[in-house]
Parts: sequence; C-alpha cells; structure tokens
Amino acid sequence: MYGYFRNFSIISNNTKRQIEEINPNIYIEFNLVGNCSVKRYYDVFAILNNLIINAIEACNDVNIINVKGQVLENLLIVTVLDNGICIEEDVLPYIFNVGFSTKFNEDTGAMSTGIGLCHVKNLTEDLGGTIAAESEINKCTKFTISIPISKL
Amino acid sequence: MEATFMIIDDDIAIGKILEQTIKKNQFGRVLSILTTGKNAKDTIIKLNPDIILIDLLLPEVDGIEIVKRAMDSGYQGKFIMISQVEEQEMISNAYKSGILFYINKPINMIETISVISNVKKQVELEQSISVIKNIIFPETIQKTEEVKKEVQQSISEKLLQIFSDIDIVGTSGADELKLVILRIIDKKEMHPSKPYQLKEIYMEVAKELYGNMLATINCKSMEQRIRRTIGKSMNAVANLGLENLNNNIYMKYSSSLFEIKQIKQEMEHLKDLSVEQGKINTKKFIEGILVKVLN
Repeated sequence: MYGYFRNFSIISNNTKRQIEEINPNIYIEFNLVGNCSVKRYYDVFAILNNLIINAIEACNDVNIINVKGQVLENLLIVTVLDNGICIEEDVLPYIFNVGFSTKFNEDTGAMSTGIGLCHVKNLTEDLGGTIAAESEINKCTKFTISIPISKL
Repeated sequence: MEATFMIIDDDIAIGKILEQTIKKNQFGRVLSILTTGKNAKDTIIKLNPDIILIDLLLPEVDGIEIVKRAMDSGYQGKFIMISQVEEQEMISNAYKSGILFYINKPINMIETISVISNVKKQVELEQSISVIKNIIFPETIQKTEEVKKEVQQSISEKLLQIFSDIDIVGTSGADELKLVILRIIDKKEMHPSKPYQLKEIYMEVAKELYGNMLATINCKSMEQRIRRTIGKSMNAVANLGLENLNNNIYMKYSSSLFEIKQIKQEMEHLKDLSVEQGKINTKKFIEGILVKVLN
C-alpha cells in the first residue's frame, strides 16, 4: 500500500472545508512541486495536519497560510507558513517539549495537552527527517520539514 | 505596580507556560525559572520576588522544604504551590509550611490566572500597608533587605579575602574583575543551566561603568587590565611556590586558578627572566574563584 505525495490534495480539500467552518477569512494555498511515492502516508498526513491546524489556530483575522511541498534531489521538503500570531523568541526553544502549550479552553480553563508538536517532531525524526521552526514577530511563522525520500 | 515572580518547577515546559501566563496577563516580571530545588533558597533570598510559584516534588530539595527554609531565612513573599500530588496529607503539609494556595496539576488556566491575580492583590495591599507603617513607625525598616545584603556581603568578603591572598587588592583591574565575577554569579542564579559568555559579561560591566556610549572603547582596555591583574596574581602565587612548594596560598590557588603547567612556567620565568612567562587562562581563573566563593 502506498500513495503519491501529489495525492495529498485530500489534505488541502479537507482543510479548506475546515477553514470554511472555523474562519472563512483565512486564505490557504497549497503548492506542490515534484512528486514522490509515500508508503508511510499516514505519518506524513499526521505531520501536515498538526502543523496546518496549528497555523489555523494562530490566525485571527484575515491571514494567509501557505503549505508548500517540494521534492529536491533526495529530500521531500514541506513548509507550512502563516502570518498569524507569532511565537515569541523566548518560547521558541520549548515548543517541541512534551507538555508545553500556550493554548487552553477559554470556557473550562483546561490546558491543551502540549503533545501536538512533540508528536510531529517524533514522527519526523522517526522518518529520518528534521524539523525547524522560525518565527518573526509581526511577520510570519514557518515550520520546515525535510524527510529523505528513501524513508517515505 | 509590577510584581516580581520566581518559578520553581523541574518541568521546564510548565515553567515556560507559567511565565507566559504571567507575561500575557501583565501580572509582572519573572526574575528566574529554576528547575531544581538545589540553591533555590539562596536564589529566593537574593532575588526576593513578591510571588513564588513552586512545585512540590523537586529534585535535590523538595518544595515544602524550600518554603520552610526561605521563610526561616526571613523571606516574606508569597508561595503558590502547583503540583500533581493528590495525597491530602502532603497538601496539608504544604499549607502548614506557609504556602498561600495549592493548585492541582494538570493546570487549569482559569484557576491559575485567578489565584495569581488574587495573590498579587494581597501583595499590593500588604505593600501599601507597609508603606503607611514605615511612615508612621520609621524604625520598622524591613528585615528582608538586611538578609539580602548579608548574602551579598558574604560573597564580597570572600572575594576580598581571595584577592588579598593572591595579592591583587587595590589594582584597578581587581575592582573590575570583582564586578565581572559578581555579574556572573547573578547570571548563574537567574539561569543556572545557561552557560555565560565572558565577552558579553565584559560588555555589560563596561556599560555599567562607562555608560553605553563609551562602553565599547573601554571594554577592550578593561579586558586588558583584568588580564594583567590575573597575570599579577599568577606571578604572586608562583613567587610563593618558588620559596616553598608547601606554602598554604600556593597549594590553595596554584592548581585551582591556573593551569599547573603554566604556573610551573611562571616559576621558571622567575628563576630566569629570559625564560617565557606562564600564560593565564581567564575562564579557568574565574571558574576557580566562583567555586571558592560559592561554596
């Protein structure tokens, strides 16, 4: 069983539907260059979904999310970029820690589990890849994932 | 009023969440986040924050013990305990030790925010009352100030003793060296796990001494003066060793502040001035002094 990275349009259709429900002011664009076969599509799916949902939650009003997939030599490089609320510099080193979160339920006060990004990092590293996060205050936040195609 | 905070939790993720909460709600400034109970009491006394958020279960020294020790040493701020312990007895022990509130983990944000906010109100109230008290009864000047000074004084005294042992008292480099060392101690207390950059410390001290405008120019020459001072101390220690290898001061400082090979070299130089001098290692020298001062 394997799929092709291009077939991930499932994700784009899915998230577009979600955005319509949550906040139609968010504009999301998908951009795929190149193609490769993906056996562990479930993991890639989970990684992308987590990052995109984070991006949606970071957006407040008229914001843009850009998801880009690129096959460069032997790497699949995926970036998820948003221009919503940024991650502050002193928090950035801790975002992949288990249990770290900035989110909580406004009604009940319950903290988010702080598992999402930790899970994304574990999955990426399990695929032999790397993940990096950058954030520029008042500009954008960018997550970059590179995974060797051979491991996909 | 801006309140000051300190957070003690072995899970840095929790520490950061609490710091963010304090920042976002504009409760005040977080002076330090510690991840172990070791030295926590000393840091509390030194920084004297208004409010401390503390975990119960901590490596080295547990939360209740820290609360007791800090209060015994004259700390008068407020403790909020945040922990996962559900055993009623431990929670009541925590209250008996002097905490103001106990918050259960996993954290409930609404609970945490309102507890911090209420404790902050209490701090503000007490501070206003103390201001009024000080006007009416000026002789009751707070004891905490004295305790804080005592810790700093003992470090200064130890430094002076070391400087007099290695014969650099009174040189201009020695005074600057002292400021550099005190600043490093401050840094280590605020961020125990973060390594310090000597260059940055020099720059900060230079700014303190010469102001922002002239700091860069003076920083280099200050570094030179400090190096010369350390060189002078090496010379003094080597001189003592030359006379008698069992000299107390030689034995105490030769290997802790200098590289032993270099101090031997300096002794050769003293015997025969045509031989090259021993080289100093500023970082090793400062680390050596830190070990002596902080223990």
